[in-house]
Amino acid sequence: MSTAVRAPDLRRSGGGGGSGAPGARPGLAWGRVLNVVRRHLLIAVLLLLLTVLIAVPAIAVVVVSFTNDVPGSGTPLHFIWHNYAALWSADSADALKQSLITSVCGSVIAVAIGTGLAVLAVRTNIRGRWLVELTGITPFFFPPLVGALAWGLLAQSNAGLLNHLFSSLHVPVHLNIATIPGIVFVFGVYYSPYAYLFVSSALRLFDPQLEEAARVHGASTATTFRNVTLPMLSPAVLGAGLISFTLMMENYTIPAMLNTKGNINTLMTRMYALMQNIPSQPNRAAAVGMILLVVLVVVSTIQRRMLRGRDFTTVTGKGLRPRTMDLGRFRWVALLGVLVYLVIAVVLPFLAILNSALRPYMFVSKISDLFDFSTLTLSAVQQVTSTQQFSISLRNTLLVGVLAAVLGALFHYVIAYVTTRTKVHGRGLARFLAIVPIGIPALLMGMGFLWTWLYIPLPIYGTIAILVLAYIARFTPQGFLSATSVLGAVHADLEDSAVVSGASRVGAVRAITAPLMRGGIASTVLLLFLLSMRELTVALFLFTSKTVVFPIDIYNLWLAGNASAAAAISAMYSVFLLIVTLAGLKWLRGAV
Amino acid sequence: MAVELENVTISYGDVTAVEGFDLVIEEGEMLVLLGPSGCGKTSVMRSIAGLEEPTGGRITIEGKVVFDHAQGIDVPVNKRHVAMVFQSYAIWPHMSVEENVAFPLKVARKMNKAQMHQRALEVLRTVGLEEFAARPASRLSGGQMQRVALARSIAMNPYVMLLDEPLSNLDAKMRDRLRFELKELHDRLGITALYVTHDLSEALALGDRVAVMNEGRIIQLGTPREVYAHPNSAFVADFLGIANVFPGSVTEVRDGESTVWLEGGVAVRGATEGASGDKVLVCLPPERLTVRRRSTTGLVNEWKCEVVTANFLGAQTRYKVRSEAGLVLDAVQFGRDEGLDRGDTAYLSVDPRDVLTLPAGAGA
Repeated sequence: MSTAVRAPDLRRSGGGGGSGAPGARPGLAWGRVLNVVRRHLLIAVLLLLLTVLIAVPAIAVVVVSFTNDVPGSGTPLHFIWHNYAALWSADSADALKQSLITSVCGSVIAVAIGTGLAVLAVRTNIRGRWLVELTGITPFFFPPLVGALAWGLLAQSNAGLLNHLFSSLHVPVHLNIATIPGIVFVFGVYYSPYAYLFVSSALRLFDPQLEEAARVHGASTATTFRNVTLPMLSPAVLGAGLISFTLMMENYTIPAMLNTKGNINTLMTRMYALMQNIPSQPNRAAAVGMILLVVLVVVSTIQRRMLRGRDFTTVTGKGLRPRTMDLGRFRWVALLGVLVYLVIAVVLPFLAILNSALRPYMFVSKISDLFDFSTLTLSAVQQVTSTQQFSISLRNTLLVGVLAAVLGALFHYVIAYVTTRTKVHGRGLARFLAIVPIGIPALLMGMGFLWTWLYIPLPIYGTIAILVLAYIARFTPQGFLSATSVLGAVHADLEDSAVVSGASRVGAVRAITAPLMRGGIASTVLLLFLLSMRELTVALFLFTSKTVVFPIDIYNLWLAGNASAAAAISAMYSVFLLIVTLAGLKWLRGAV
Repeated sequence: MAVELENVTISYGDVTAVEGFDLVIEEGEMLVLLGPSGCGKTSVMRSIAGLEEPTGGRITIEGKVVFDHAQGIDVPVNKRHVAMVFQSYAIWPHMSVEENVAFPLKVARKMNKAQMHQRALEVLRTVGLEEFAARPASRLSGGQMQRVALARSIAMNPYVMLLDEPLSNLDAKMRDRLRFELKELHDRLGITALYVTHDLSEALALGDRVAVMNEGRIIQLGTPREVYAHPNSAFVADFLGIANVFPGSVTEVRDGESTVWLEGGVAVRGATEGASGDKVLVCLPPERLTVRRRSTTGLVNEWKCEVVTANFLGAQTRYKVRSEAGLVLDAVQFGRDEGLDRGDTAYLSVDPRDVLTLPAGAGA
């Protein structure tokens, strides 16, 4: 048989034979030098960006905490310990104590809610499973800012809507949200999705054979759950707890929104006050931030240690659906419980916001007024939306969100690619810098950005650009981790085989890797967009009247006592987030 | 010669995977690198492709230096014109079968669309997948995917085709079938190929030559028949699945025949070269041993044994026997079953010409 396949020759054209690559000169090894330069160009650029965006602002805060003034102030800087001396005051000890109490208690509640919902949604035959799943992730489109505002409306000590309701029904309950338990409650509810997502994904990847083995060897359902399922879940639960704790410790929004009178101080509110009070004491604020930094570095180190063990516990990749527990007649009871929670977490708050947005006056005087629909009016909404400030904010919010999401995703994917797919020197440092912002409180990052860009002679301060850069830096860990997992799902061989086939590396990424990651990239972009749209804190020291975004608007209006306007914007803003979240739900699930 | 490696060294940080490696792949041959995982065989292959950069040495493909550490030459992967078949198939799921196969032609930009289409179909025909051309590549079985990967490699008409354990992700039946097809395809097309595997039967069946590797070095290189008949070390014998290797020393050499005393106190006659007093390893290939119920008079190497285990497998029977001196040996009998069972007494014999002696301590 002579069916040998003959083909038009694809081999080297011209020259042929002979040795020597372009640029290679025997003896001098210029080729090798060029290769080294070419190969390290990308990582050098990445490290430079990571340094400017993350390392320099962080270091700036450390420096400021040890000096007598801020960079760019004109005063010659010198080293002092004095800023830290102020930490030994009763105020600071109190702030640290209240931060720890609210964060620890809040984390416990958040983890309990998230884990409970996850177990119900994934492992039981509860009625209306989709509703449970939706409830689990609801606060995604109901950001802490809006949640805090709503609970301010519902449970303020004197004028809260619920207090009116209780007193008119003669229920002897009086709520006051501006207390430690109030802050703990709002923390717990609005940070529960992290626990939900962690635990439910761990449960979904759980190999049912591990449980079946326990059952076969004589364990009851309850014993199996206690001795096999729970221990296997503990890394996910602990990881979620630590992440929640971290986020609550660095949360400025909720205590600031709930506690407008300022009698409860956390480290964050104290730091903000030191910055904004007159005279401003930025060096002492930085020193306060350093305590928090130390706490968070310790916690995130523990967290990384623990999450490292997450892989071996649950993932088998078989994708078998775990056996569901029969709740029996509790199927409906469980659903009822979930619904009550949904009402408390979402429905009541949203109604409260709508009520405030649509009433001409701020608070109701008696409960019957709530049901007087004749007084409903769109005037507050119209008033708010007709201002020039509103259109500026609208434009800014969308612009910042889209730019931070698109540019951020690009940046994060390049970091992920270089750190996982190449072996260049410096990739370990790049990975480290990309993760660092997890341990840096947003308020501190904002301060660092402020000082960095006052010092760097680029006309960015006071523009939209600085907000975009701050958001990109702030959400680098989230974007980078999402990109890493998406990239990890595309086998390196797929790209290598294109290069072996003759495509350039960039061509192979364009033809193979990028198209295969399309869904994953969309999920990262969406995640970053939602995170940026919700972000308040990092922008607090960076915005100007021309670069205001909605979260800033809401915050300012609320603190100025204009609840109707704050509520009107919040209502539109959270409906928008709801729509975006629902539209992108199938992508988001893959992202987190 | 199609490919030549001279003094190639590959290190990862402080770990040296391959050191001072020399190898020549001749035009049109299929050379197999056989060795346990971690022996450096995949590193060698990826260095030829350019997916990994050696830390020293020189690599030449079709007379062109593609890598030379001293001169700073490192031709990029896509300019080396080699093809690679991956263990994971690396079939692009977002393309059709034909688009996968035509990809190397497309990036080479030397054909128009019609030519590419014709070439892709032609190559798909050689691997028996012509009718799948339009199908999305994600909707193929493992065996079909690997055939598409082969077609993609053949399509670019490479200087050398690199195959990285291409059959190891397939189930046993498909593996047997594709191994046969690969052999037939290579005989027909005559492409120069380097095949990396840890599977003995693939290496023996497919290789024109086999290089047995361990710890970054080639221990033995030769045709499959040479290597199998004359392993040069205990490592090669062990890796080729040749059991019954025992240490001993030569006591007598006469007329090209020697007597070796094993440590258990058993004398074996064999065709050793060497001198009296040499320390050697004696190897009694299980399939060369004869297990009988009765003793045969006049045999030089015959020992009375007790059957420890007998596995009747139909076409063959495998035994584990213990000699009176306490040696435990494996033996395989093809097509002849004497109905021996556990505890039976048997007589084990071997022709002196089938006894292999290896230098003690050679290899690893």
